[in-house]
Amino acid sequence: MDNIKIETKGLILNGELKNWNIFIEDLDNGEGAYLILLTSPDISKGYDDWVENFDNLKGYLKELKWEIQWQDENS
Amino acid sequence: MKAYYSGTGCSRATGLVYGGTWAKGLLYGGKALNYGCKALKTAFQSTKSVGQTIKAVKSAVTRTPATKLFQKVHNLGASATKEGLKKIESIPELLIQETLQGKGYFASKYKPTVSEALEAGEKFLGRGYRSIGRSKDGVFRNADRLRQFRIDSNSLMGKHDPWIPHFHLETFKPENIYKPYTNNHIPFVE
Repeated sequence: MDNIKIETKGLILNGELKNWNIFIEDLDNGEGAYLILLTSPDISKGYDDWVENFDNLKGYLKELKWEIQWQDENS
Repeated sequence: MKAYYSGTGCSRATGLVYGGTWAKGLLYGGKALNYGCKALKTAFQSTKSVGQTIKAVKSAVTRTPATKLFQKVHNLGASATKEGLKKIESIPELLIQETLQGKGYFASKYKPTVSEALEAGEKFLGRGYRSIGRSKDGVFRNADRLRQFRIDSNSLMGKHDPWIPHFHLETFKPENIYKPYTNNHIPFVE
C-alpha cells in the first residue's frame, strides 16, 4: 500500500475488519513508532497495533492487503 | 466410600460456583476448584496424603463460607502439585494460554495485577528477548521475534480503547512479522 495517511481517519473497505475505522498515530514525529487504532463501525469495540517505524508500517499494511478510504479523499 | 464423599463434595462446590449467587468474581476460584477436584479424584486411590486432602476438602465444603472454601481448595491444589498431580494455573500462565489459543484481536477475560502482568510478559517471552523501538516504548520481542509483550505508555495510560490501563501479549507468524496473528488486550486489575 503506497497511499498511507498519518493522523487521518480512514475506512477499511475489505478484509476481516471491513467497515472498521482506522487512525494511524505518529508517536515520535516521524522518527519512530506508530500506533494503529482500529474502531468498530458502532464504536463499541476498539483495538490497537504498534509498529516500530515507517518501514514497518508499510510492511504491516502490505501484509493486511487492506484497501483504505481516507477521510480527505471523500470530497 | 471416600471416593463417593469426595465426588459429592466436588459436585456441591461446583454447584456453588455455577449456580450460586457468588459466581461472579469467583470464576477463577471455580476453575481452581474444578482442577483441584479432578486432581484429587485422580490421586485418591494412589496416595495416602491425597486421601487426607480429600477429607479436608469434604470438611471445607460442608463447614466454611464459599470464599474461604475457594481459597482452601486453591491451597490444596498447590499441595497436590507437590505430589506430582495437575498444577492449578496461575494468572500469568492463564494469560499466556489464552493468548496462544486465541486468534486475531480480543480482550482478555482476566485482570492481572501489575506484578502478574510483568511475570506473564517475562514468561511469555522466555530467555533472549530484547526491547524494540526506543527504550521508552515498552515493547519487547522474544528471541525468534514471534512473540511480543507490549506495555507501551499509551496502553498503560488507557489513552485509547478500551480506555482503561492495559497491556498486550501478541503473537506473530513467520510470514507476517508486522501484523500480529494474536493481539490480546489485557486490562489491569482495578
